[in-house]
Amino acid sequence: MSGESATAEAQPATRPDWQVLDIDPETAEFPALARVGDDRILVLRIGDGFRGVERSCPHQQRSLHDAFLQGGNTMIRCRWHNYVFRLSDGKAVNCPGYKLKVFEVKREGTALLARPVN
Amino acid sequence: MKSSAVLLKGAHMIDPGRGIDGVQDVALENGKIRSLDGLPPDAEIIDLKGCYVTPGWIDIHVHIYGTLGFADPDSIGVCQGVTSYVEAGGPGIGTLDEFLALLEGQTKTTLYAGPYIRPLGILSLNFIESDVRTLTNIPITQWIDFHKAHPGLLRYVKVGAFSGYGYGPTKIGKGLAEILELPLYAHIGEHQLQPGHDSAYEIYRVSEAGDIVTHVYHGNACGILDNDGKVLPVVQDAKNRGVLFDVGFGGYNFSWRVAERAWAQNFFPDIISSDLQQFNVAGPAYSLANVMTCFMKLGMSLKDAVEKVTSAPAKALRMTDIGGTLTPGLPADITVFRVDSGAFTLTDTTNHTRPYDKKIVPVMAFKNGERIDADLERCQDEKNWLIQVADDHEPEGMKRLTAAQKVFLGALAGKLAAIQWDEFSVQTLDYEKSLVLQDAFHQVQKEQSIPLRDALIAVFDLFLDHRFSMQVGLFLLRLDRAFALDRMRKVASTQRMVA
Repeated sequence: MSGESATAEAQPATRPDWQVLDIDPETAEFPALARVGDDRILVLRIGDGFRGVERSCPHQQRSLHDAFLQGGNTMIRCRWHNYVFRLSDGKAVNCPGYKLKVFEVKREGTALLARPVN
Repeated sequence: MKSSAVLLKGAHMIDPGRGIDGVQDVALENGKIRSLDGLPPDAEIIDLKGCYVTPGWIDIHVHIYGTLGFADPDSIGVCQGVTSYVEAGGPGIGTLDEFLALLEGQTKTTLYAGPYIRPLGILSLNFIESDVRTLTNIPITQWIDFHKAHPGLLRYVKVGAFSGYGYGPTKIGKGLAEILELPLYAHIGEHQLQPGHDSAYEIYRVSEAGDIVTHVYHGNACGILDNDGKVLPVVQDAKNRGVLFDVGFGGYNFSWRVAERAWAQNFFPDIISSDLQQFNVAGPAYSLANVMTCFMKLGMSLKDAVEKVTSAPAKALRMTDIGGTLTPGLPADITVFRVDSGAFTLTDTTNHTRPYDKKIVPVMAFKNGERIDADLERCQDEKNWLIQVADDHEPEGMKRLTAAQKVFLGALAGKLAAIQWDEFSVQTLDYEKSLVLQDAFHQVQKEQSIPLRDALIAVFDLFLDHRFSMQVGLFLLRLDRAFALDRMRKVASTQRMVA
C-alpha cells in the first residue's frame, strides 16, 4: 500500500504520549506489524508519512495486512467484506456503528513513534 | 426514411431456450427481435465476428435499493450485459412505495422486485435477519393489493432461512408466496452469525417445485453438505422434486470448497446470479460475467452458463413471454460478449482463489433495441458503492434542493425534534425506532403535499455526496441526530431568508 496524500488529524483534547515502535523504518516492509503498549498495530506507509491501525477489521476480525487504501488514501478498506474506515479518526464509512482504532505515527531520526488517535 | 432495423452479423449465437449453439445472425427492429426474412436493405449491420450473442442476461439477485444498493444501478445492469435484474429483498411491503418512487423508470435495465417478507426489507448493516419481532405484522391485504396494482413487478417473495423462533418465519414466508402465487426465494447463507440454528433445513422441506433456494454454495454453517462433504439427503430430495438452486455469489456465500465438492456429486445450480452489492462489487464478485466464469472453471460449458442467466431464470420467474430467448417478436434484449484467454484469478467469498485461463467479457447489450456499449469500470467507481455521509462538508446535492424541498426539510426537523435516537450501534438495531422515523417522514411528506420522490431525494441529497436509494427510516437512524437536525434546520433557514 502506498500513496500520495496524508490524512487529516483528529485532535482530541488530551493526547496520549508518543511511544517508540519496535520496527526500523529503513528496513521494515510496510504494512508492518508493531506494538504500541498493549496494542498490536499495523503501520501503513502513506506517501511520505505513516499511519497506524489495529491489525484486524472490527467486523469479523480479519487481518488488515492486505487491505486497500481508498478515497485518495484517506480510508482503509478490508478486502474481505469491503468495510471502509476513515484513517483520520477510525470512523466507519459504509458500516455504521463500527470503529477502527487508528494511530498517529511519526518518524524521529531512525525511530518511529506512535500514539492512539481514538 | 431509413429503417430502424439492425442486423447483428457473424456472431456465435447461444440461445439455449431455442436449442441454438452456432454462428447465426439476429435482427432487431422497433425494439423487438425480428425475423431475418424480409430485412430492409438499409438495415444497419454490426459485425460481431468473434463474439457471442445471447438473449439478454437476467440476474435474479442484485441489490440496487436498500443498505446494500448502488448509486448507479445501471452500472451493474446494462453496462455489464445484464438487461434485467431483480432487487432481491431490499424493500418490503412497508417500503415498496419508497422503492418505486426512487427507482421506477430510472434505470435502462429492467428492474423487478423480489420483496422481503419483513415490511422494511433487508436490514443488513451486519444485523442478523432473523428476529421474528422485525416481521412486525404481515399485512396480507396490502400485499395482495400492491401485487394487483403492479402486475409483473414482483417476481418472488424473499425470506431469510434463519430464525431464533423455530421454523415459523419460514412457513409464514411460504404462505405469503402461495397467496401471491409467486415463488418463494429463500436465503440460506450467513448462519455463521447465528450458530446453533438449523432453520435452513426447513426451507428444503417446505419448498415446492419452482421455489428457489439461493446461496447454494455458501461455506458457512447450515450448508448443503454434511460433515463428510456429501450433499445432504434433505437437499437432494428438494432438488429431485423441482426446487431450484441459485448461486447468489454474494459477499459471504460462495465457497470454492463447497462448490467443488457439490460439483463432484453432480449437484449443479439451476440459475446463476451475482448478489452484487456495495460490499462485493469491488471484489470478489465484480459482475455476473465473473460469476459465470467461476462456473466455467468448475466445469460448466459456456452454453450451460448462458442458459443459467437466460432461459432458466426467465422460466423460473415466469417471464418467458418477455425474455430469456431471441424469439422474433420478443423485446430486443440481447447481450454480446467475448471469451478472452489469459491468466486470470477467480476469488471466492472466503478469499480462496483458483486460476483460470478464460474470462467472459461483456461487449455490448441491447435493451429494447437500444445499444449500450459495455463499461465494466463504471460499477467500480467508489462513488457508486461507498455510501458516505458528508458530515464535514455540504454535499453538492444541497445546491439542487428546491424551495419546496427546503421547506419540507424544515418541517421534518421539527417533527424529528420530538424523537430521540441514539448513536448507531452494531450490537442492537433499534428497529422500532427506524419505523418511528419512517412514519414521521411520511407524515411530514403528506402534510407538506410534496411528492414522495422529492421528499426522499431531499433527505439523501442533504447528507450524501452521491445519492443512494434506501429505506428512509433506516437512513435517518444511522445519522447522528444532532448533526441531522442541525443541517435540516440550516438548509430550511436559507429558504426562509429568501422568502
